[in-house]
Amino acid sequence: MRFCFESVVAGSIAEGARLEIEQPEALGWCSACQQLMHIEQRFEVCAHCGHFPLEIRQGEQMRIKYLEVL
Amino acid sequence: MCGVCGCGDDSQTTRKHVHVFAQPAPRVIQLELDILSKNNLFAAENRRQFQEQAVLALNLVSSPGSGKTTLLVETIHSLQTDYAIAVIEGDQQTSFDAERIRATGVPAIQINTGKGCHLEADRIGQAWQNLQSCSPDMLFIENVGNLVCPSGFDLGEAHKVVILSVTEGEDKPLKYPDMFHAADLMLLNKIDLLPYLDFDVERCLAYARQVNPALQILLVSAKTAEGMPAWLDWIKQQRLELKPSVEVR
Repeated sequence: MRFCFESVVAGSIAEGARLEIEQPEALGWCSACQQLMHIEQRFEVCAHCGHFPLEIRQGEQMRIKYLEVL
Repeated sequence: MCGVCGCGDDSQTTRKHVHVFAQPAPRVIQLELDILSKNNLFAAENRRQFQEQAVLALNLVSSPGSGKTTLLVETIHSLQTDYAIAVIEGDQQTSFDAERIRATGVPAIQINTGKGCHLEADRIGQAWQNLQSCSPDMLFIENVGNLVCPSGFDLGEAHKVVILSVTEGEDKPLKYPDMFHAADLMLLNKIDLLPYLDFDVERCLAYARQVNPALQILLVSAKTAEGMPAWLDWIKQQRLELKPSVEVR
């Protein structure tokens, strides 16, 4: 996305615009031991009790949050 | 207006002082839009039409060369006497696949994605406008061969069906987890080749279930027809669940 952004805005009204990407931490929820934990990959097992699968609670979203017009 | 003297003179300088023009305050426009929201709107409309018209839409996804088209041709041969079928083919270039489908007698529309690596919902909606006059019971969408991008694009289908062939290696579900996570059914294809390969079926299925514990899995060979009845039964069952009152013609 960062790679494309400059080319896409070039010559448009958005030329010179800055792209800010926030990457929220990936969080998985274990339904067995009721804990929320940091995960690195989709198919991880619970770090506390070994339960599988974890429900991904955060980190999959791709949202345009806002435009700041200067 | 000048920020120093408040005069209405837009020129930069006067004899008295340098005019200072106030910068407009940054304007923040809250969007909170999903990046794929536009695609999802088209997909929702497709899904509404498919449900309204009792069309079972299946999105077939795989890497290139998994045998999707051969599987689809054999599937059509087995189902076309009982069901009206339509096909949308997605490829970067050529209409080879649509021609193979049309040879079965079933209508097929080819979408060439050009530089695109996946099908998008609005293109499916446009193709559907041209296919719905055939009143299909089933719509098979053969996506562009790619195990990554098509997983993120809802087309309005009832189910994604991921096809993995035994020549690709058993580790694919872990290497491309999004696709196996997004699918409801996995077909392990080309099982007629298993005697010639070191492919570990059990390990592959375990990997797939690790990514998606709810994934249904069927082993098939489109070439020898081994396992095909279970796949055909699965399709018929999905069609029944779509419209319980419908009678097979």
